[in-house]
Amino acid sequence: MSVVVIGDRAVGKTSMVIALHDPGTKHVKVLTDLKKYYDPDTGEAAGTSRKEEETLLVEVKLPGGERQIQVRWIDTPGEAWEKSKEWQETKLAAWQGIQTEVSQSQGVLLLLPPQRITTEEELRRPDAWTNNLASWLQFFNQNCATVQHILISIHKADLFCDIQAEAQRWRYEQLKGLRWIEYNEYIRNTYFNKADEIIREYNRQHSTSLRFFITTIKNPSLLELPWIHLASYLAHK
Amino acid sequence: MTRQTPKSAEIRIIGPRQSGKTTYLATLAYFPHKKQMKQLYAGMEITPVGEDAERLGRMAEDIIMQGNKLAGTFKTNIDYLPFYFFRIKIPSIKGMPPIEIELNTRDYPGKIFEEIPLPHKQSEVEPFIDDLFTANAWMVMLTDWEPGRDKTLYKPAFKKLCEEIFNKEKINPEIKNLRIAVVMSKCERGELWPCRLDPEEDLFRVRLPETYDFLKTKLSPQRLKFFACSSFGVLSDRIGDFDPRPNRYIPDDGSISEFNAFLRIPEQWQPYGLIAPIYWLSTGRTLHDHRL
Repeated sequence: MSVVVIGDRAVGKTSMVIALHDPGTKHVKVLTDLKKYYDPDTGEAAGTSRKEEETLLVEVKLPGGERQIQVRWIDTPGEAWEKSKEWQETKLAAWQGIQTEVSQSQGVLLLLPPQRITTEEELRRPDAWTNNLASWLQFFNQNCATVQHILISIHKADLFCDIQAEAQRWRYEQLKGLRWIEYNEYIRNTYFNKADEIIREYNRQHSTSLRFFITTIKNPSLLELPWIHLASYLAHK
Repeated sequence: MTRQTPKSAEIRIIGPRQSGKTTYLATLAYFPHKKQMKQLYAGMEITPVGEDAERLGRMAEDIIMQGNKLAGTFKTNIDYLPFYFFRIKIPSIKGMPPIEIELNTRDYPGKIFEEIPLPHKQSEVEPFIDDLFTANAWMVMLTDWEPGRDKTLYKPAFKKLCEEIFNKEKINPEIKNLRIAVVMSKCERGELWPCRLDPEEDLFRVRLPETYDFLKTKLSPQRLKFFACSSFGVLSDRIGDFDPRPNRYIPDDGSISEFNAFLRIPEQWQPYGLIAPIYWLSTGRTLHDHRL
């Protein structure tokens, strides 16, 4: 079972997985030692310069019981996803390797940066965030025909919403679970509404619908949700 | 209930993609309405046996009950497809003797069914066809949400399957005992629900006429029967608490509804017509309670 984490440079791909290892969350704990991916003194993740692969042993508390699942985690360097395609062109073999991994994986978790207009550049291009998502959807269209689970999360949620309130509202509990479809509808309507049209268009053409999340390493309840969602499938493979 | 020798049934479940085969099996394993069923018929019991069948039950609990949907069964080598074992105890119902069925079943990836009529796919389909004939009963799950499929897929698939049946039974006369239950799945849909009471007349003859006519001319009533089934059911079909809305939720996100339906209220999960096809396939007798 492999899960590939993808996303633009510095969006927080590696640190998300590290946070699930240390400290972990109430329902998800990566048991595999990931110390080599971060500086134990500062807790900060080093930038990933090449494709990293690791078999993660993950403990997840699902409504049907506690499970340990093995996830083949493929971390990708942020440069690989730059729109300039410079990395893709100069490191063709590595890029093709990543494309193959993605297309053969069971789950893809895409981390997006928050939608913010803070710089002059962003002010000039207000549609940049939506256009970025559109190009990701195009990537899924070309490479993910048989990927069963495509999850998209706007990461660093602490920068754009009241994470305590959202975590309170969408708290997963082992016995009760979570109404995933309601969570998904809420997140899509609230945080992805700018991209509504392109999401609908994608869903119309594909049998595997996209699932939406907001995550931040500053709130374990929100952070664990995409992993619980994935685990509920992977645990039964 | 008098102790009887359990009846063995070997059933293969086939049908196109998204016809609800795995959801049907997970629902059977979880049997969400077991309480109500036991009240209705004391002694009614469905027990998944072994790791694979138990896993189906957990999938129902961890995925369907939580407002997610099961992932499709991707095409794979037949040797990788699990067998699911169930022990099904059915008490005496309306004069029928009680029975214990030991069910051994497996479902195929939907893509295989879609490839049955394609000549250029025969080498890929062949191992599955061979496996089909190791069972004495088939359950074929169909939907009618794409009406053109009656002519373009279902009839050609049955044509090919019937050819295989007639060729093989010349060599192996046991195949003459093969029973085929043709099941219309997802009958919670408003336009299908009232038709569930007479599935042959009101569902298959009306909605899949070409397939229906073909099957009726090729197979005797001893070998062929039509059923209606709904893994999700409706919110309630009890007298005095009647809410015939489908217990399913279809999000407004652009996705095609048949690919993307979720259980709406897990607490009111009452599947319909799960057992009747298994009972007929195993015994040749019809259960006279349409809810089962």
